[in-house]
Amino acid sequence: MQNWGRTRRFLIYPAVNFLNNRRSNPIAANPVFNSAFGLANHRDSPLYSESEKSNLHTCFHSLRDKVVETGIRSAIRFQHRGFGSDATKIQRNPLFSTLNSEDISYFKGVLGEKNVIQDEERLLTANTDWMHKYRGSSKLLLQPRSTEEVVINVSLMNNIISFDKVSGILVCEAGCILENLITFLDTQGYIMPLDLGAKGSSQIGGNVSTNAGGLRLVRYGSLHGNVLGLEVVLANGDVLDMLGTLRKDNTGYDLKHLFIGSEGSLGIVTKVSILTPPKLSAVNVAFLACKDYFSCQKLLVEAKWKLGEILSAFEFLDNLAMDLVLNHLEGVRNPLPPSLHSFYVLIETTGSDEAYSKEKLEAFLLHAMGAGLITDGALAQDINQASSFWLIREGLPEALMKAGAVYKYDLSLPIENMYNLVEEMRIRLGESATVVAYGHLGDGNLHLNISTPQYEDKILAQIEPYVYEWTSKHRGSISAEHGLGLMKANEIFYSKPTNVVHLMGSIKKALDPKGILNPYKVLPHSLSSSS
Amino acid sequence: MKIMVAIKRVIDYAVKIRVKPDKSGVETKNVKMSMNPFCEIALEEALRIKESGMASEVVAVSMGPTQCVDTLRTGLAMGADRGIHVEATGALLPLSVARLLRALVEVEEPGLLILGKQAIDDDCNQTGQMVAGLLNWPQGTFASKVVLDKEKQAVTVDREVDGGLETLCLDLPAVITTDLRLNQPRYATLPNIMKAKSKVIKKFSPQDLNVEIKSDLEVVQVTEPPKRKAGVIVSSVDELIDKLKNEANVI
Repeated sequence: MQNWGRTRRFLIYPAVNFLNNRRSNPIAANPVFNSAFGLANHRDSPLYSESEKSNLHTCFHSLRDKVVETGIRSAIRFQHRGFGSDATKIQRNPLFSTLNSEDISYFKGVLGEKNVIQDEERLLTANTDWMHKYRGSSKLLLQPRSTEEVVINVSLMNNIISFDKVSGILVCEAGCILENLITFLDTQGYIMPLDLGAKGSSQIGGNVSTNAGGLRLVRYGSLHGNVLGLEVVLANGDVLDMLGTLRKDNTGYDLKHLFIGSEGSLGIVTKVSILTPPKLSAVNVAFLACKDYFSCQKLLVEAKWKLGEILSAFEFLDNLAMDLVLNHLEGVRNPLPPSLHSFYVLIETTGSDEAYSKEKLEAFLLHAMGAGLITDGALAQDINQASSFWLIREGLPEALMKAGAVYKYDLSLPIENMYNLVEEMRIRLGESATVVAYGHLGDGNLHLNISTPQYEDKILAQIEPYVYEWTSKHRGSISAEHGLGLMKANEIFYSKPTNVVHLMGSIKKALDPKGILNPYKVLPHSLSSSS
Repeated sequence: MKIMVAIKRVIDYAVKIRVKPDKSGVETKNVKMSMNPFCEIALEEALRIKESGMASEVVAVSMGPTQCVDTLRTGLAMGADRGIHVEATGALLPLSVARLLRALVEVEEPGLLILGKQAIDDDCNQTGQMVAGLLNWPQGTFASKVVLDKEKQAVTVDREVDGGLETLCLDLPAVITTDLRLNQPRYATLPNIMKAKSKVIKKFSPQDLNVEIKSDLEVVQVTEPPKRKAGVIVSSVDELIDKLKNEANVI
């Protein structure tokens, strides 16, 4: 079985309390499962009478009581309960009906006994997000194998359908794990245009549904540019075949862009056709230290000019982030001799000629050092050293998890002011929390992480809505790449004007009139209740 | 005291190797090459000895085609003082390398010759032992700890052997080959990369050293190991015994 905590394609019962939060590893589309399911719309069965109103019952509380009752629960579960944030309590939409045993038998008939999961342990893992911050109350988990069946968790749909060696166009099913795709393409001489720290468990369907950014966006652009086609299943069960493999196709409105980044609220992605760039052999990684944030910015500008076409990643982290990684992650050491560095920058170049690339990078680094932009740096001499540099940057989310509770914010901000927010948060929170910053400096994307021993409401009150207001004031985005999900659905107005959000609501109504796909997420609750 | 370190340019450890279709060898075109990991460890140990004050100079040596200079530059960027490149095209098997090293030792007169225990491309594990034999020097191979005693002009080496650890005391000059747990090599930092640009790499040819490169060995064929077969679940002890007897032929 997969590492459920990470594979995000699971269904969420319209729960009262906490539905899934996400980190950079997104959840894919999940239709919310209940009896009045999309399937019902084209099966006029008395099973699925939508007039059935359920009582607003606190699913979470019933689950929690069960946990206390059964007593076989391990200590870990209780610890997870402690982490639950008391913040949002979602009222279950009264139009949804409840699960009953007839539904379960029906699904067993369609999918086979094995793929309908009711086991409480597996459900608990599926219901809890990676950070153990939210917990849903799904009573059922379904795993289909093809588009004809009900699509809930697509990890079994993990075939690579085709790959064109000349054009580099890959067509695969949505459940393929990103790392497996990378390994496959490696044998063909190509790479995926996106790369994340969590590639070992994230699925491509999820990456597309959340428009994942990743580490190489500065070089290859976003998924909106790289995805050539999608096969999507709509709320009413219709299968939309937009699985084109053409670079150019200006026939009508390009609907796939609606689904990319829709977080599963408009439809479920089941197949993806993506353009992959050729694998270039000369990869070099440098780990640098800068004395202040201003130098980091100037370094970015210089890198874009001097490294130009070979620049493939530009990441930064501050010294608190470095300390965290060194303390909490195994087998990690600081590449640079210990000194008072305030900022670290990781630069990666990818080119076709080893000697040329290395020379160019070395010349750039020595020039930067001479100009005082960097105080020290190390250049990886082999692939192992390059991986260890990346481990420092990619291991940050894991290190933060191990350090305790963490409040994560993924913000797009103008590069000049980006770090000012970090400094202001440090002043606001003082001793009560450690404010750590890292991110894709090349894309203007800050990952602000506030680490505390435990989740506490008063700390949360100091952070939100201040962070959103600050971001809004600087015309930034409150969610650069992580999406809105449940946590930020109601905050969308900080980054988008009201009339725009209303139009989004109309589109949602057109594609999912009953609101069964991933309810309570992406769009503000006020929109759905007014319908 | 001078320390000489032999380093080899090999296919990067993290690369997935492919055998050439004609089975004459491994595909090396467009493949990333780096310093042999054990050679890195050897160089790191030499640098640490120098930094502790027990050696005055570290000389890095590499043999092979022109691109070996890149590997030597890496060595200089780590902190070696000088480089020597013996230019030789074609296959260089351990005995030829050992002969070349002997000739260089006679030129440079180091007190210690440190090598990696083996190269990750041929896994020979022969050069260090051969050169010690040719020079008639004591050898401490598979070193996991090296302690120098300057007054006694001796070095204590802990060796990783099958039974555990063996400690030897060698009189200098000596040959040491390094094993994985000896140290963790440093990264090449920018100030050192900058300094390395002005360091000297001297070129020799085998003729300069009066060594004839000839090989008594010929590589006939290179093939991939057979793919691992899936396991079989047996249903009873009798079936297991039957398979062990008749299929695996081990009982």
